[in-house]
Amino acid sequence: MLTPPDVALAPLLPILLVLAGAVSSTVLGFHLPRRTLTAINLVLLLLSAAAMALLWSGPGELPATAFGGSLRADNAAVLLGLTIVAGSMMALLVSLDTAYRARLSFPEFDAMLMYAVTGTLLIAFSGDLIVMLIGLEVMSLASYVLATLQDSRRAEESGLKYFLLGSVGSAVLIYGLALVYGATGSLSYGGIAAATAGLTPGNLGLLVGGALLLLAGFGFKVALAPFHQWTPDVYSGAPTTVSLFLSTVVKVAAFAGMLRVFGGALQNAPFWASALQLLIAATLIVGNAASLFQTNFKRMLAYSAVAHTGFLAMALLGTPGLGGAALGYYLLVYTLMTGAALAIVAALQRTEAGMNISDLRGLYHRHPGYAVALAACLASLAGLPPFAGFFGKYLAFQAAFQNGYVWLSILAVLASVAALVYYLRPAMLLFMPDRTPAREYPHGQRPATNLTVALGVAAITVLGLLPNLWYGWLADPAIWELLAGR
Amino acid sequence: MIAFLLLGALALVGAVVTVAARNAVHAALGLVGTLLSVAGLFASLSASFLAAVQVIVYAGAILVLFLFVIMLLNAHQPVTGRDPVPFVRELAGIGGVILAGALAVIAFSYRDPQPLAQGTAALRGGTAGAVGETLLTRFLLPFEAVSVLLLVAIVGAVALVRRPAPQPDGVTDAEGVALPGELPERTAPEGGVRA
Repeated sequence: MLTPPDVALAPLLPILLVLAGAVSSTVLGFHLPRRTLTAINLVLLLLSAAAMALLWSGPGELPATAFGGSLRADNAAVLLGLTIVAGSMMALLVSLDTAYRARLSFPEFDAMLMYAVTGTLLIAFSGDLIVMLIGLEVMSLASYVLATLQDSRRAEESGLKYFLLGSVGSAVLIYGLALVYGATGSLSYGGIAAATAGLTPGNLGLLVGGALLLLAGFGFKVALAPFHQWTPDVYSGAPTTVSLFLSTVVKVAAFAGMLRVFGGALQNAPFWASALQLLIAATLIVGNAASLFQTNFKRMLAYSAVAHTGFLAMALLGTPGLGGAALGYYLLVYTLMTGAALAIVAALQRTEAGMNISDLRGLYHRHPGYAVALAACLASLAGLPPFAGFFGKYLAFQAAFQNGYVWLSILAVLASVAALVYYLRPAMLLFMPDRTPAREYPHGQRPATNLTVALGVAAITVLGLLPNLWYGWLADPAIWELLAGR
Repeated sequence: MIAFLLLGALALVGAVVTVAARNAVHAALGLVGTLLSVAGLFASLSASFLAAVQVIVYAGAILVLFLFVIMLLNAHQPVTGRDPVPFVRELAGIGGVILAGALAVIAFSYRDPQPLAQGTAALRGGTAGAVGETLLTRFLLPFEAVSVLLLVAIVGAVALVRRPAPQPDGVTDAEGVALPGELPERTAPEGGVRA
């Protein structure tokens, strides 16, 4: 009568490796210096990426699952997981150079970061709503601690705001999850998709209410307007290394959850797409308009993260095949360009408040390498053609446009024109004649940051010229149509 | 049915007290009433193990912690501040009534996706055995993942309460090593420090 649980190690291995890094940072922190632990964590992240690559299933192969489908190591999970690992490695590498200045260079920082990555991978690999929720909570709790960990008033304020608003978001999400379970009687993505497959699913009101609450909860996590209010304060108040992590890895994971839930489980459910469309329109307007008026560069990047949430979420409006591929491509590109830009801020800032946009004037004459790299990142964020940001935006707009969201696509194009202004103004200032005294932090070597920035900029350039290097893996619509399983 | 209505009404009264009370201790006691009534609801649905856990964990452990914190932080004085947002009570009341109406409509049109007999059979009288078996077979991964969640909460809380000392990193040179006791932006004049 007792059925033994369906335990398989291989699909769980990428998550277990990261968790091992987190636990070893917690325990070995008493014996080893922090930089050694960071190196161990970097190696474990690489191993985790290798384990994910081994889970890739070719055409015709069934994806590896475990725990009766609670854990799905399908190709979508592998691709999103690799993006998460890339962002986490950027954050760890940058922290090697800047953690001491940010007063974060202790083992607990690494431990919390790796716990957060464990949660993000659980979301990407989830096969039912409960696992997704627990992954989200692990990630959120660890992120609240990361944002607060620096011993300063700014960080404490940012962490408390993040904690309070994030908890409300989680509560809304759990309520929505309960309503969806009540409407469909299933927690697994596949079961929900099957229960909502008919044209008139039972308990329609409950299903719509649950889907909208889920949308609001995820809206908090990815910072869709009007749920974005915490984003600028948290991203600009937290230490820059943490902002890098929060605005890349945490956002990628929240989008992975949205993709699983809305692109997989609820793809047949009515009404959420219309609501999402309105949220995206509000996000595009608010994010881009607020970015125009920022004077602090770090805060401008925070608002640009809100604006990019709008662009990224447009991919969710496409058909699962096209939209999933667009989102997968854009998420990696977004991670690389935002990560590289914030890495430069972390290296050059005098204080954790970041630097003013006017301080960037003439940076080319003082730090030519950083200036050129920052200009490339800003051009990519603005979506200028030789860089990968252009292709990501194009794919997202195309996915929404082809599914009939014409006016939203027009609004997004207009918004990205407005975005040119606030991205290219600092980019031009970089190359202006240098008349002001240097305002950058003058001390120290930054080998790891230089490596991160070089790799990030090289990647966005190469992916912009040869997008198929990454898009070729994503392009198969079957990957994204099977998000919920069969 | 009568038990259900009574317990439901008690849970609602407790919830209203929790929200409306100006004294934090009263609010916590209202929450006790709600939690006990919900435990009674579980018992009336023959989920006996869940009812016992609800009483022991929520009404027992967590509420006692709440009360301890309220007493320790001296938060048991009534709140006298005014809400800065106008009409928030009225709006919340109207919204609550609309929500209650919508939920009532949904509740009366609800069709259970699982046949009731199937659910009752799976419950097996709500004993600990049925709950444990489900936790360790069907919900094994969430069950294990929750332990990671608790670990994160513990490590995070300890790290925040006793912030460790930053370790020098070897890449910051001599001048950079001297960490200011407080972040420089709080002492430096606006506009940054001239080099």
